[in-house]
Amino acid sequence: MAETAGGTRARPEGAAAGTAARPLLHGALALLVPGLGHFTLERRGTGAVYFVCIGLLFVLGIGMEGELFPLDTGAPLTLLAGLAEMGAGGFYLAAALSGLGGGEPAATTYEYGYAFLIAAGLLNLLVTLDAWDLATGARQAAFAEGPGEGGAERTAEGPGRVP
Amino acid sequence: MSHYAALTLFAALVAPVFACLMRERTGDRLRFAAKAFGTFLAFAYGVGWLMYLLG
Repeated sequence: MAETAGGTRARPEGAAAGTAARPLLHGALALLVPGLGHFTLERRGTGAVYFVCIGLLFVLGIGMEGELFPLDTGAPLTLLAGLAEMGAGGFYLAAALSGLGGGEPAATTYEYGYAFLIAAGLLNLLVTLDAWDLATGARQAAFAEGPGEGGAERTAEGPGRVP
Repeated sequence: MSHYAALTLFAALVAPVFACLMRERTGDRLRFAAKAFGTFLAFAYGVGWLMYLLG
């Protein structure tokens, strides 16, 4: 929220109107399909960039014989890799339900593949948080008075930024 | 696929996402994406040479 001269807090331009359900809805949409949360928040170009880049990362990862790791609690690194990959949301579900992502450790591109899959999942988690921020108005506030290039740089200390 | 091709592809797909997350305006985003892409490749070259010289 932006602070006005009189000390009251004004809703930043583009912030979602009102209920707590909206950030949840847009966050859920963003998690399900990369970029969909931004698309429904009228940031269509940004949503398209997220969809294409994260989608390609995931599809290329599968194509490179990358593995969708199981949530194996006995192997912490495997568990973390599996959780990271699940961040890709709908792409992960589609691949898992289609029986893709079995992984072929003997393939020369196996390590590249799972690195792409993990990166896709983690990036989509960041994008989901960004859609949440956008719906609550926190992103707009963070960019409103940022230090760089006329306030166009994200700052963690922007007004209204939740610590 | 060579390691170089894979890392170039990776950088080309990750840099625009970071740019959209970290910058608000289109021009700033393009500059940020170009810088991030170049930095990815520069670090790969740097680490590659380091490993070559130390190995």
